[in-house]
This record gives sequence, structure tokens and C-alpha cells, in this order.
Amino acid sequence: MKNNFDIVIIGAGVVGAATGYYLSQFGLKVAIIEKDYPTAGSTGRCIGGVRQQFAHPPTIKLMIQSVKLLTEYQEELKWDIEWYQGGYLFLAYSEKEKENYLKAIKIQQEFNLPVNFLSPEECQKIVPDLNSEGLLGGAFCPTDGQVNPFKLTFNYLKEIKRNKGVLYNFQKVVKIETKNSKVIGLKTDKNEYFSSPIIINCAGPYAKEIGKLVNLDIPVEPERHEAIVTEKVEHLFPCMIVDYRMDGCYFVQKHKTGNIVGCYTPVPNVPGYSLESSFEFFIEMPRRMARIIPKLKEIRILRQWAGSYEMTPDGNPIVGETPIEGFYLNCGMCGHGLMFAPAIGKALAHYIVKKESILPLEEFSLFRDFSKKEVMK
Amino acid sequence: MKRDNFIVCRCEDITWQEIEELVKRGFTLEEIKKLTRCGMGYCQGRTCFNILIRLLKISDPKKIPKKRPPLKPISIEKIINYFEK
Repeated sequence: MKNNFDIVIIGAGVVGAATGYYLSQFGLKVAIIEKDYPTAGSTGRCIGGVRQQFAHPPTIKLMIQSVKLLTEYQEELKWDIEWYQGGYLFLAYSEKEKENYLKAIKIQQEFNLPVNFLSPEECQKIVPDLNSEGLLGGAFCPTDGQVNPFKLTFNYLKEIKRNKGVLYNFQKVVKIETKNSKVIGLKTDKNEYFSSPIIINCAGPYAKEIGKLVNLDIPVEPERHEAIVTEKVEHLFPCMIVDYRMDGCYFVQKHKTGNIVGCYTPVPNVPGYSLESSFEFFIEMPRRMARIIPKLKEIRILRQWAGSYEMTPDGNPIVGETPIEGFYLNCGMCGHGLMFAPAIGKALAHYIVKKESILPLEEFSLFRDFSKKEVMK
Repeated sequence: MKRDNFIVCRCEDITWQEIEELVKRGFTLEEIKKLTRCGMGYCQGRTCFNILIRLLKISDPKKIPKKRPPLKPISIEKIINYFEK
């Protein structure tokens, strides 16, 4: 049969592509089923940041691994992915924020991350145009960075095809077949049947819908986040700038092109699948950016768009086995899919093939206690 | 006019040859936009997409990347000043 595969992955975002890449490297025949085209969902809508500054130790371990892999892709495999380590600067405007960063830094330093809390003057050495008004300093990690989400995904897909894998675009999974609580295959809306003993749910914001096909409740809820991009300008700052205040925002200048991209987390959050742009965001985001770097006022906004964050109750991803044999999850990335993808794809592939954990994946299990929250969301 | 070196996208400096190469490899206009940034520059696709839609003979509006707000680039200062309470 032509549609017999060792592995079928649902979703050709960066997470599905990374997972497929590592599985195909084990010589397995991989198929990726994508309901639209690769990167059409959250991957193509993210702003491309990659950071190791988290507060949850398993996430820090995961991200150290991702940074290592991105460096390998670029330096050794010569992938053109625009990986650039310009750092991440988390700004503190209150004693409470500063205290939280200092606590997180302590944990991060245990993993030998070169993170430090910088004075406002030191912050301005990195971001010369930074407004120091009310600023108490910032947590900075110089090895964090940015990557091009499209190029990373397409590089993975290219390699999957080279390893005899197949990508099926514009096909939506409508049915997953099981036999004695084991997956055996799936059907798409094009009436094609794919048989496989292993199916991996990398459907991002739609992970819950895919779970329903096997009567599994996956606690992943989509939330709308919006983003904005400016025209290209000369290099103004190298790092992602994060302002965690209630009316804060985060933005980065793309190193290759010079465009500045940014977004903020709306309060209250906007649940649901809507990807409409809001006027509120369009007039609010520029104000928040210019408050941090007044010089940005001279720059023009080109475009705004929206994307989904797939949120879990504790802000951490859901990876690994389910009660249905052969049905695996790699979802619930909570807006960190791009940065998690390299390490989490590799770790899940190793777990599936060799039953060994190269990362503490049990911390991201569907069966964990979801009541503890990630602080540096 | 020779089509090969014909600049399709002035903002990102992309030739027809580069686009044709990606079309041959099976990429859709949405993917080409994301890979080359054609349509993501200062003109927001107002120049390049019209050329591409004609040359690639795309008639299905669903296959044409969505237009995003604002209608034309506007400076952050103008946005702030206009909407300041």
C-alpha cells in the first residue's frame, strides 16, 4: 500500500517538522499531514525569539539544548536559518519584578547560563536608545537570540523529504482509527487513508480538536495574540526587549532584515481561534514600544497580524504518551513552539524510537499535576 | 523585456527567476511570500503581488495572501499623537 508509514505527524508547523526530522533520521518513513501549508498556523505568525531565561528547570534544560541545536544547524549543517544570538533583556520597573528576575537568575546560573542582572546604565550599553525612566535594571542573557521561523521549518521539511518522508498539504485529518486502544491509521478530508502504528499530534492550537478524534481531552486552549512589524531600519539594538508590566510588550529587531517585530499579551486574554487584527492593538502597541525606546517614534508600522498561542493550564508544553497506544502528543507550546521545537522534537523522537529520555520529558507529561505555573511566561 | 532578471519585488529585490524557481519546486504563493519576503516589504505587496498574480495566472482569491492593516505605512509618532487622549 502506498500510504503505509512508520510515523504519521499531524501538523507541519515547526514542532511537527522538527519531530519528523529527528524521526526520519532514525530511518523511519515519516508522513506529515498539514491542513493548510507548512507554517500557515502559529509558526508563521510568531516573532522568532529564542530564549533560555525561564524559571522552570526542565524548560531551562530544554532551551539550552535548543540553542545548541540551532547553533549546530547553522554552523555545521550550514542551514540558512538566520540564527543570531543577540540576547534577551527583561526589564524591571518595580522591586517586585527585580526580585522575580533575581530569583530566576539564581536558578538559571545553576545551569551555567551567562545571565546577569544589569543596572540601567549597563542596559543602555546594549540598547543605547533605551529610556531609563523608572527603570531598575534588567535580566540579560547574551546567548539567547532569534531565528527565522519559516526558514527553520522549511529546512526540516527539506531534510525529511531527503530521508524519503512525504508531506501532504491541504489535507485535514477527520478520523483517527484505533483497534484495541492502539492507533492503526487516519483518514483525511480528501478521503485518503494513512496507516501507521504511531501518530503524533503536533496540531498546535488545534491539538484539542485532534484529541477529540480519539476521545482524549487535551488541556490546550487557543488564545489570540497580535503582532506588528515596522519598516526596515539601521541596527538599533541586538536583543529581544521584554517588558512584563501589565501594559508592557516585547519586541526584537530582525538582525538580517532590520524590521522590528513585536507583540504584547492582552489583558484580559482573548480565548478562541479568531485571527482577526484589532484596532485596539494597532494604536496601543506603538505607544508601548515608544515608551521603552522613544526613538522608535520616527519609524513606520508596515503591518499587523494575529496568531494563536496554544495555552495549557500551567504554561508548559504537553509531550509524550497518552492512554492510547501509539498516539503521542507534542503540543501546548504556550507561544514557545519555535524555540522549543529543536530540542523537544529531538527528545520525543528519541523517546519513541529508543524509549530513552534525553530531556526530563516526564515533567511535560499529559499525566502531570497542572497546578504549578511557569513564572516567566 | 527579458523575464529572467526582471525585478518582481522592488522592496526586497527579488527577480522573476527566483520566484519561478520556487514555483517549479511546488511552493504556493503564500509559501513564496514567507520564504522570499516578497510582499512583506514597504509596498506590502501592492506592486509585486499584482505582477505575480498575473504571471502565475492565479484566479482563486484564497490562494492570494491576505492584505493586512494598515492601508499604508504610518509612523509610530503619528499613531500616538492622533490617538492620545
